[in-house]
Amino acid sequence: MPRSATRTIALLPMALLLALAAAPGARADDHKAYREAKPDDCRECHRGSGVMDNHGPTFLQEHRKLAQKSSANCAACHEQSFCLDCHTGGNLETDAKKGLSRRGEPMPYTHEPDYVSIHALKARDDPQTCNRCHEPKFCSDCHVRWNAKVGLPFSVRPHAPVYASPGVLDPTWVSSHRAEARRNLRSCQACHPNKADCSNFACHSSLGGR
Amino acid sequence: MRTPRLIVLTIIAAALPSLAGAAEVQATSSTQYLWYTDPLSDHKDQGDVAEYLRVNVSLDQGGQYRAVGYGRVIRQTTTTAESSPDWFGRLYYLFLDGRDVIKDHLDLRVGRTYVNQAAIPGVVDGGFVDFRNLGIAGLGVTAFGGHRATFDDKEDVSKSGDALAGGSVYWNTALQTHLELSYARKYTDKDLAQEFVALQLSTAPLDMLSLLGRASYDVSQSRYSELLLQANVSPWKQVILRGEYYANNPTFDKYSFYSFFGVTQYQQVSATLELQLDSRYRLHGSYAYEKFDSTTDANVFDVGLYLRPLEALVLDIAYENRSGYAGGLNGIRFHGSYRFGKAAILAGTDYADFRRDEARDGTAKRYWVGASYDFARFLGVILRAEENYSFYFSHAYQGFVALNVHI
Repeated sequence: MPRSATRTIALLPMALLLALAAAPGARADDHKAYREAKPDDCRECHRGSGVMDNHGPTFLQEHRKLAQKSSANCAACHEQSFCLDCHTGGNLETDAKKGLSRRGEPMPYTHEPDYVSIHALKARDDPQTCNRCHEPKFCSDCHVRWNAKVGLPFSVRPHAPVYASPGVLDPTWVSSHRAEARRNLRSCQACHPNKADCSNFACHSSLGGR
Repeated sequence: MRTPRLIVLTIIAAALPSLAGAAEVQATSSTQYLWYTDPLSDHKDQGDVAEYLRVNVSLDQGGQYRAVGYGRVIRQTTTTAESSPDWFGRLYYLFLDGRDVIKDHLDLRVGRTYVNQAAIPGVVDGGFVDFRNLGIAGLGVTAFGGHRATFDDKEDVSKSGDALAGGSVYWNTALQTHLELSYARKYTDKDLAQEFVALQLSTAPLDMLSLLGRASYDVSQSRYSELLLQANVSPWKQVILRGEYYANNPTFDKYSFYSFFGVTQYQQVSATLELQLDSRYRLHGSYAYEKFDSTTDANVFDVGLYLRPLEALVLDIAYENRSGYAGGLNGIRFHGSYRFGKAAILAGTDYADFRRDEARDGTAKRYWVGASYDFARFLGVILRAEENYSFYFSHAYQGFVALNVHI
């Protein structure tokens, strides 16, 4: 590629940044006056100002991408309690659509019936989803309690080490165990939060001191 | 109840002199009784009483300064294998909120507050500041930090060494462009648990097109944790099409044994259609292809329909189908509501058929009804009762009743 073309390509982003810098800064508008507005009203302004209608039917799944911006204007209409009632478990703004967890905590509507049985599937669909509201301890507390109460194998397909001969692990088990752990290591942590849980196994002894 | 008493008292002391001239005080209270069944407590029926309270006090006529707080106390009324009656408290937030403390340049919050503007969200006992328009219009810097509050099992379970700190540099400019670089560190019991850097860019080059990209890097484990690329197209104002690529690596606290293992990258490609004919009719559908490594994948479909054929009547139905790695799920959810005057009735049913590869198959059914009545603008009551038939319960009856007061 000619040097001049390379220079042009390199300068383009810089020129774009300078052009944007010269433009007036935009701050998300105060929306308090529009609290009671209907979606149709929102669209009339949004489309004309380059902001797409965003409180649509999938906003529950989409909202974090907007709320993470420093200049997000959620607070123009919503109190922090609106966020925390879902993210940290609360029920001030009572909603009859919200069910309860096994510990009597209100759960967002996104949690389907018998969520205890379904959560392993849901946790696979984007492994980070649970983390946005729950600490890792939330998983291990329940799993460890359950193991203590019900006993292994905790309704999970038995996955204890299989030995081909005394002291020699079955290669098939090693392979499937490794593949499953790499796919969803978080599920291992849910029941085995301590490193001793794995480093006791011969194959992980080298990781024990790290 | 573990509460950062010093911060609470500081804020109350700071706010008290101003209360005499307060322009407005708003309070919302919800007094509730909840009943539920816990499979870990021998399926015993349990009950809780709870009191939620949120108070907003405007400290000046213009609403520039506010003192706001939200918390709850709760008591389990039954003795179970896991717990016995006791009072527990949660203070969700209590802070002094200053908007335009320096006009067009500074917003701040001091006290316990939720921060979501950086690489790691959380509730901190400390503060948050947002310096805006720093020389260049739209250029700003945020910073936050303090003790990190976490809630679990009805109470505040954070330790004295839990902390969160971070900040961001951002720039809002033409074409609704937002560029932000954020950084955050999380400490658990004084140990560095997580450290992230995130870069986010969103822009709307055309009225009908918006783009968003986000990448975050896990500094403590020297690998990226999340990459998101999204395009939204709205050829007509009633239609939004969304395409997205998303990939992540699961992240673990730095001291976790699991942080040393290699993991397979999770990837997802999805497409969504939102059709909103007017405020009374909405339709959405989405498809996601999920990839767990080179040999395993899953497909997830969602469709939903929202109808408001009469002003007082709402009907909402959604269907989900998942197949592939880890198992299958078919679920239908429906609820409806009808309002007449000061009263409303609601009802819904959920059905799920799940086929988990590693464990169990089964179905779950939930039927629920709800009702609300507003005695006055400031006083209302709401009730929900549900029956569950699931893998764990031949039946589980649970719900809540709440008396809500707004002043």
